[in-house]
Amino acid sequence: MKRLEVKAFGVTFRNPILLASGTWSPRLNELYPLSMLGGLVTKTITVEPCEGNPPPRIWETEHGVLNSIGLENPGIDRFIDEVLPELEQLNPIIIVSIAGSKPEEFYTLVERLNPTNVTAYEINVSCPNVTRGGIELGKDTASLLDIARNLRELSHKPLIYKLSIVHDIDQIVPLLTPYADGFTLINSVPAMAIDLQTRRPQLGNVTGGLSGPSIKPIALYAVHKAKKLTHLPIIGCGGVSKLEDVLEFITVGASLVQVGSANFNHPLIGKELVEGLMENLI
Amino acid sequence: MQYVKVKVIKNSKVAAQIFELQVEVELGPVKPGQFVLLYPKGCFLPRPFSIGDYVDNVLTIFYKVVGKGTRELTKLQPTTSIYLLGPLGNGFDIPTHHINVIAGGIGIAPFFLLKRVADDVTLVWGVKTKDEFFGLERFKGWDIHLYTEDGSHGMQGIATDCLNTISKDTILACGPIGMLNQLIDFAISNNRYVQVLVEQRMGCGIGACRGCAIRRRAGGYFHLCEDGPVFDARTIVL
Repeated sequence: MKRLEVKAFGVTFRNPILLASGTWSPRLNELYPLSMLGGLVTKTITVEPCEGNPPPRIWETEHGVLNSIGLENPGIDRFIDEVLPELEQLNPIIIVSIAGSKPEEFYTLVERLNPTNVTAYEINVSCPNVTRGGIELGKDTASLLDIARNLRELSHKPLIYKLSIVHDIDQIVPLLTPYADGFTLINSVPAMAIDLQTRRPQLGNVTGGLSGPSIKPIALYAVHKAKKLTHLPIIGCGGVSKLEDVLEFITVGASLVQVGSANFNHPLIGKELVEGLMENLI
Repeated sequence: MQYVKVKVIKNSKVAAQIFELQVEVELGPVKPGQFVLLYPKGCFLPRPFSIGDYVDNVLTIFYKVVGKGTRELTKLQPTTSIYLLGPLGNGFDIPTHHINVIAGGIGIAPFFLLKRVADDVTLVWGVKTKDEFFGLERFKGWDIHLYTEDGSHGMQGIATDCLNTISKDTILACGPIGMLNQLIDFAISNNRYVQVLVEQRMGCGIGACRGCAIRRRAGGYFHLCEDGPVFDARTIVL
């Protein structure tokens, strides 16, 4: 089992399989013990509660899923009081995904979470479904750098920046490297779908983020590219749905992988990937 | 809740575009109005279906062929298998006294299971044309009122035409969005407790993705998989 261990960001993960933000709930633990996974990344948390985007929020594509959830979450107070205690029972490694519509919100979140037992922060600057603080923040390199500098000062835990393929990876990764502990690549890809009968978008928020097997080659490309630009560990994310996908991400330089929308397609995927790694690598 | 590969016992057409699928599965206790997810081959997302009937480890699902997922389901042959997640969601709150059921089209599906737990029921079922009725014999003993839009069977009209004359007892309903919106208006203007079973696109079924949101009248959203799929009609906006 030790052979599957991964050390990254100063943390020891029992294996490289993590579940991605917004794609699992504690109820999955009814189907298999989530403690067997390398770790869990929470749904993105903001300072204030966020009700999310108007429905419909989800649409199946040929080889994936288009979503426009809009960072729906209970806010940091309820997260710490009500959600986190349950999550901590599920797996020792909890990475909290955080987002803010202005820099101060990132600082507040980190200050609030520092005294808790969470393992690390995944800084979501790449959500395609919010108007402020999402993917646009990742494009504003001056603001992003400012946030990264301040978070480095404030944070007691590893900082992992989650980026999008629409970001200028060549520029951002070297820029953030001095202030970061790692990167997650990639968030869902901005996309849309049309209902030809009504000639209207399939999503209530018009556009959304594409995930699933159709984005895996894009995610592999992003990890491959980022690996050449930083010495920091990278978490590969995007379309992981079978063992070969995990191995492909590791081949291009990922230390860990996140399994996202494949959880919707086959809820046992996390367990089966860990078992697959054990059978094939030990 | 369990996620299992289940064996198909039967999958046959019972009415125009409507199929009856029977699978073998141990679900434990289930309530009318609860649902399961089925994972059709070639579809990235599972599809939610009301539990039609459940007895002696045989689960019956009635589905209408409307798109890629349900078209794929029609290909299932006996002895083949399909993944299933369930039971999910909260069912109807079933009163012990007389119940009114209003169903539109395939919206009849969740009420076959109700027949096993409630006897004193008035059923109003509306369809477009008589070819869409099925399984009527299973409701034997209930007070049944049938409507067709084209007048080919029963009364000519739609299920909600009964609202002027319906008794004051609890209404349980399931059907197309137009019908549900009429029931929402009716429930609000008469301050009546009408329980409506709502459909929405769904991702995970277990509260993870937040994809199955519907509007809450008081602001914000409900989620079908966690808060529903049955709602007090006065509390939602469709």
